[in-house]
Amino acid sequence: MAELHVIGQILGAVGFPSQNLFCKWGVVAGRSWELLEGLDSGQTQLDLAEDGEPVVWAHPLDLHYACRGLAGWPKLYFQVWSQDVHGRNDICGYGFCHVPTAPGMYELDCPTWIPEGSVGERIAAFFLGGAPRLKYEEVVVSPGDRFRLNTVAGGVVQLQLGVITKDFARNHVQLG
Amino acid sequence: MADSSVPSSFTILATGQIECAEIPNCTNAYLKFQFVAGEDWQLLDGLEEGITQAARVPEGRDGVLVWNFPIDITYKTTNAFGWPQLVVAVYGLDTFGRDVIKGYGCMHLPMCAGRYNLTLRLFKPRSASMLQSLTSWLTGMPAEFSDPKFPSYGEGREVTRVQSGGHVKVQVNLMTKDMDVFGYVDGSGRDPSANSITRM
Repeated sequence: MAELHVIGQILGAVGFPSQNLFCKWGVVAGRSWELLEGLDSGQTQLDLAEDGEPVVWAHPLDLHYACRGLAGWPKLYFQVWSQDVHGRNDICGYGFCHVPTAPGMYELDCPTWIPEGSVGERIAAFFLGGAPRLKYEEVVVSPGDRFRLNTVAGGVVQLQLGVITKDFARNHVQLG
Repeated sequence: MADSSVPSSFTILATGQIECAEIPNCTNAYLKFQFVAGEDWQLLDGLEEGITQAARVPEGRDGVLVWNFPIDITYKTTNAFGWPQLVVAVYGLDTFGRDVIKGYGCMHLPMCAGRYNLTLRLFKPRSASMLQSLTSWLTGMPAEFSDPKFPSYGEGREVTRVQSGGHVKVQVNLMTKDMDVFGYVDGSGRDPSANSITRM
């Protein structure tokens, strides 16, 4: 039985229209993966950054998985939310990225997108808040039904991850 | 080192320095640091916490606070979960000469042997209201985290509101021993590819 350690940090974000952001994150893995230690979902702090500076979350990730089958390699997904001066939360981006398979240290940039509503919905959202959100959030991580969605790009979530593997070579798996 | 018995744990050794910091509107500061590791980790050598000297930005130069503070720490463990994190808290002087918090930062030690330049971005709690920010400015007691290890926690962060600004630069050299005996592959010795890094 092989093991995977994912240790790192959700550093922050750049390129979003708001500088007052937090992130809800989670990890999705296949049926043959078992989370032995660590938290596989959470929410970062709400950070207000200066204009032009990246938003800083510095949220530690420490996951210890046991692997009985390679299908369903863990994926991290993110929902970036902004908070306005009135304290309302609005979605700013959905995104996901796979945990890298080869052991080593990585600095990853995960692009995000949000669903785009009709012109009327966009005008209403400008005045009243409340950008359209996904009804089925599995669309973010699964390759299924996306062709009916119209989306627009959001900013980029920055991650720093270290991947350590154990006993994959003993099971004749080459990770690179 | 011939040893017929299988090692019961692996060891990591980090040496380096807390080099400097750049923090807007801060010309005089010191830094408190702490290493936080999981339950399976045991400190073998080195100081787990410490305080640097008080540094001042030189006149007429770019605002860099230089500490050049050595860090040297050795841990042994049986489990990579709970990999050590370096938690820093930078305190500066306000206009009345009182110690106020300028920012907290946190980063895991690298997992892969090599030399790294780490940049710890700093953040500090925001006051809950304008009245609180006024009283904290008058009394010299801005909002601080009650638990200095809080930046290293993955839980309980969703209720904190912070503002970010400034960063601390740390250089770390990391060595590991006996990780391969345990079956761990940490990626050292690979060719660095476009996304894989030895310098952060």
